[in-house]
This record gives sequence, C-alpha cells and structure tokens, in this order.
Amino acid sequence: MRFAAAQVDLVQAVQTVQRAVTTKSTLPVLAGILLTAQDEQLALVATDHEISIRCSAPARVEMPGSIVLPARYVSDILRKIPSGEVSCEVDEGTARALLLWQRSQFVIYGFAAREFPQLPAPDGARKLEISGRALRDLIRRTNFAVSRDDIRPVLTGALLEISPQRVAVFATDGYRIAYAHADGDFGGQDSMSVILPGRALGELQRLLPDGDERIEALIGGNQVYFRAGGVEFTTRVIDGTYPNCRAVIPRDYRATLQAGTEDFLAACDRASQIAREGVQMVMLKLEEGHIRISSETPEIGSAQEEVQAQTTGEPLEVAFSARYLMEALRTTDSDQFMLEISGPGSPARLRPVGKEDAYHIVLPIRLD
Amino acid sequence: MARIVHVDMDAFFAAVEQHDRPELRGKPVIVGGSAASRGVVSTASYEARRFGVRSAMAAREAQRLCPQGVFLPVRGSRYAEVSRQMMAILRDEVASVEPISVDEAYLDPGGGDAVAVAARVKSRIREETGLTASIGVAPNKFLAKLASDLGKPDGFVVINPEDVDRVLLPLPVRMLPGIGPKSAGDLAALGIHTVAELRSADRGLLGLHLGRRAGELLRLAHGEDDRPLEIERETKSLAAETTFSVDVGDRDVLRGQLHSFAAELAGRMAAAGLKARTITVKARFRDFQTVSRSQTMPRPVSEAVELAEVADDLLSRIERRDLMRLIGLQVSGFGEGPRAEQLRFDFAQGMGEVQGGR
Repeated sequence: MRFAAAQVDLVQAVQTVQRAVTTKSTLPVLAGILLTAQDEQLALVATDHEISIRCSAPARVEMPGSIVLPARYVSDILRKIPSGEVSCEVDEGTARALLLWQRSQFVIYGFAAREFPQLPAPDGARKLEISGRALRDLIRRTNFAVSRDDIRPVLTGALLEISPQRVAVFATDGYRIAYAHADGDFGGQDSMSVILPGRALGELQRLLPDGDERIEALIGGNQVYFRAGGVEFTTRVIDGTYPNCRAVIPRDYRATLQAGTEDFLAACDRASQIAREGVQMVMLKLEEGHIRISSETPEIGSAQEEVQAQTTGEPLEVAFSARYLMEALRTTDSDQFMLEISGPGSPARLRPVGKEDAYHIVLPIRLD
Repeated sequence: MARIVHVDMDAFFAAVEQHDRPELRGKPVIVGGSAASRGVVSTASYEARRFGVRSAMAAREAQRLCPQGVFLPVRGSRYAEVSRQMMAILRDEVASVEPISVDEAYLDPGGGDAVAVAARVKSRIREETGLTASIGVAPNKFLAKLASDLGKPDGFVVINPEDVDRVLLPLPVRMLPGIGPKSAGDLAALGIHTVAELRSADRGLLGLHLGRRAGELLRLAHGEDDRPLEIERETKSLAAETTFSVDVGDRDVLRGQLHSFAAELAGRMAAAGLKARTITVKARFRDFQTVSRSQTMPRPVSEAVELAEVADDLLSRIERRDLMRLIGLQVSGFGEGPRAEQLRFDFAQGMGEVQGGR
C-alpha cells in the first residue's frame, strides 16, 4: 500500500473518525483506525462496537492496500506535521507504516487490516431524510436529559419516533423528560420508533452539517446508519421498551407562570450558587406578578431572587433542582417560557411560549 | 462489683417453634435445611443437640445423627417478632441495651443492682415470651458472656471479681473469644490447653505464634475487657440470605428468591425507618467461590419493588451461570440521602403518578 495526501485532509479525516476509537476494549485493534487506500482516496474507519464512523480523504494512491494504525499516535503526529504533502508506505506483511514528509521519516507499528472487525453493511428497512440542522436541533434540545447511569439501559438512550411528516425525540433519566419534534417531509410511509444511545447521538450531533443539506438514515432492527456529506455513521440500537413518557404528563395544572427566559435563567443560576451541594435545590414561590426563587445551605448562606412574571392559579411553593430547570430553559429557544405546576409532589411542564414543538416535564424535589 | 448483664436466648429459633407448636416440645427440632437435602442447620433444640446436632452443620449430617429429628424451615419474620418483644423487655428494665444479634444483648444497669435486674429480666422473658434465656452477670462484657454460656440452658451465673480466677483458670482456651479450632490447635502444640497454661506461657513464644493477638488474648486470660456498651450502634446494613437445600442454577428461581428478600428487607427498613443507598446481591457457587454485585442509587430507596428491580439487574451482572448454593440480598448506606428528595417518575404506574417512597 502506498499513497500521498495533504496533511490538512489527513488531520481532518483522522479527527472525524477518532471519536469512535476506544482504548477500553479488550480488542487492542479498536484503539486503531483502519486505513484503506483505493480509487484515488483514503478511507478511514473506527469503531467501538457501539458506534462506527467512516470517512475519506482525497489521496494519490500508488498502490492500493490497507492497515490499522494506532489512532493516538497517528493523530498527534499528523497534527504536528507542517502543512503540505505526506506520503505513506505500508508493509502489509509486517503491518508497519512509513510516513514521509520533507526530510522526516517515521515508522509506526500497526495491525494487519484483517484483524479489524468487519462492520455490518448499511442495512435498514426504513429510510429517513432530514436536514442536518433539524436533526442537530432535535438532539441538542433533548439529549442532555438521557440517563448517565445504566441501571435502566433504555434510559441511557433517547427515543426517536419517526413518521413521514414528523420526527419526535424523547429523552429522560427518570427525573425529567425532554421532548422536541420537527415537522417536514421525511420520506417513508410508515411510522416507527427506535432507541439510540445518548452518547451516539452526541457524536452524531458533532458530525452533522449545520445547514439545510439533507442527510439520509437507514433504520434497521439492530443498527441505524446515517450518511451526512462524506461521513458515514452507524450506531447500535438499544434493545428494550422505552417508558411511555406521554402517560406521565399531567392533564391539569394548579398554577402557571410566564417569564422571560434570560431573566429567569440568570436568577436561577445565581440562586443555585448557594445550593451547590447535591440536588442544587431552589424553591419557587409563585406570587402575584412575580416569582420568588430562593435557596439555602446551612453554614453557607441563603439567596433570594425575584423575577417579574405573569402568574395564574394558586400561590404554590415548589422545590426543584436548579440544574434540571436551567438545562430545560437553555434549550427552549424562546424569549418567554411557561411553567405549569400541579403541586409539590407532581410533575411540572416547562415549554417555550409561542412554539408547540418542545416541552420539558420536570419532577419537583419533595421535602420531608 | 458485677455490673454487665449478658442475655442469651436458649436455642432461640427452635424454642420459638416449640413454643408455637406445643406438640414439638420435648422433640428434637432442627430449624434450617430439610432432611432430604443439603441446607444448613440454623438452630437445633437441646433435644436435638443430645444427638450431636449443631448449628451450621449440614442438614444431611444432622439427619444421619438424628433420623427422628423434626426439620423445619426458618420463619424469619416470626423470630424477628419475638426478638422485638424480648428487646422491649430489656429496654423497659434498663436504659443501656446493646443488642448483639436477634437473640442476644448486653445490659448495663448503671447504678442499679445488676443481679436483681438480671433476675427480673429473666423471669419477665419467661412470662411474656414463654421462652428461656440464659443470663450472665459479671464485671465486663467478656466475662458476662462467658457466664451466660457456662449456665446454658436456662442458666443464671454471676461472676464476681473475686471469682474470676476460680472460673477462668481451668477453662479450655477455646472458650476465649477469637480462639477457633486452628488457634486452639496451635496453642495445644505449644502445650497450652487451659487459660491457666496460657497465662503462665512465655510471652515471646506467644507473640511468635499468635502475632498481635497475643496481648489481647492475655488480657482476656486475666479476665480483663474494657469495651463499653455500644448503645446507639447504628444499623449499618440489613441482609437476607439463604443456603439452598439443593443448588440452584435457574435464574427465575433465583430472581424469585431475591424478590422475597426484597419484600422482607423493605419490611425491616420500614419498621426501622430506614432508606438505603446501596444494594448488594451476593452469590456463592458450589465450589464456594463467592461473588457480589453492588449498586449505589442516586437517591435512597426503601420500596420492595425498587429493591427487586435493582436486585434483578445485579443478578444479571453475575456472568457465571453455574449452580449456586447461596444467594443473598443486602441493603446499606442508610441515612446518606438528603432529606429533600428528588422525585422520580414511576413509568410502570403511568398516568403521571410519581414514585418517591416515604
């Protein structure tokens, strides 16, 4: 195998696939990137068995072939090479690569390409077409709410409900739920849903183009394959039954408040400085024309903030985790938000004002 | 001055069974394990002990020694109930009670007359529970426990300071706490069989053979023990476990067992007003390899359903699929949670109900 390519192209391609490299696997070869030179391009692949990323860089291929090289060294070395052309000669028998540029030469020991796991071919009965920006937004507005601990594996993923005219996403860690949907023409005929790992969605969000450019997904039983620009991304599907989030949304609320998102966020953020420990509890007290946000930690102090708000209903007092409120508020994408409260022991709904495409359900903190 | 009282119920589990079922009185009752199987004896009545049956002995061995024995399953909740009744009597009589196990406690009568208190406790236990306890009264915990052991069953032994040497010196060393068969064997090899011989043994030699425990043993050999009563000993963990009468590999059976433990532990936590942060499943395989899997929860839990759910998950994290001889569930990390509790959705219940646990 022998090829030459521009340093900038190689760096970009390596950094794209590197996110799927793992050093935690029992398979040492997965700490590497599979490089295949063929047809005037260099294809790069990395996988950690949950996700895999494939992309390519333009190259002048003098002799086709393939090798696996350790991602960390290749990435660090390529970034430090002056821009210009790098050539690479691989001895496939010994799995060694010789990198040459200007008057430098490096030898890197790799693995034979046959040791790299075969990636499943793109496969999936259901096709989805969606703009990169729409999918990115859906992920950004929900994925923060997935569970970080794996007591219930399905909660470490987000639920995607896909129908020809709507893609909706639910994410929950059992304490709060984030929901968002996008409407459009997404292709396909039937409706279906799939649970994708939160981590995979985070990586996908980074890879998606931020524009109207359509990307294509193939949804199968075990994996979902995305193609965005020159990058191919595959993720494992989480097997299991996702909780019915719609069933826990309250039907009636005892009080509501509408306030400016920025004002409320800033006040909540300040008050939570006094409540850093544990659940970061803040008390919300609805009063006529405003809402009072307070917090207190023994030995540290207390905080009291007042934010102008339109309030209706009973003068309730409910405690919430400041973190859950702020994470929800940061993704409402709206100047004003509405908080609907049904009591100190019941779920509250938080949603943007003037938009129907997202909401958050947040459970309060109960005080004994 | 004798001032610590040790109360120890006689053959507790078996005595409860004989009390509840008068037809078993006078018969060799063996609690734990079944005749045809491989469980372990939990408690043997004194009638059964005459045949050589002992606790922790294999049920099969017990069956061989005592073929006419009545084998009964462990009724934990019933024993817990009698235990609570017994402890309540102790707390009624004195302020300082240190429960050691379900059927054993130390009392410190403070300025009161220890012998009189002990006598009252003994007769109240008999009257109110219908069971007998052996009582030891002595200057410290070690001697009080020794005294109750010496009088078993239905004993009442007082060791006054002037009696200590007379009682202690002729005793075999294995009567000292911490001397098991192995240490007793080591000491026997040095020609040390009795407490008297231990006392007069060469300290250097003892140090060589027993290491750091030598000093502690010598203090006990002199009847010295200055451990105070641990009155407010916190409950650090609660556990339920069982040794199967026949080894089990079927995961459904194991889950079923864990679910009943979850119910039992939830009941015990509720009674004690506790919530746990950490849940542990313990398993022992036929080759005695013991493995455990733990999960620390983001918030304290106390409901049987939650415990069972986590227990299932922990069980599934034990990869080895061989037959198990023992399975157990433990809860710990009490009182670690904040008093403010982040509520959690109970998706299983649906309809906006939330699961918090009280």
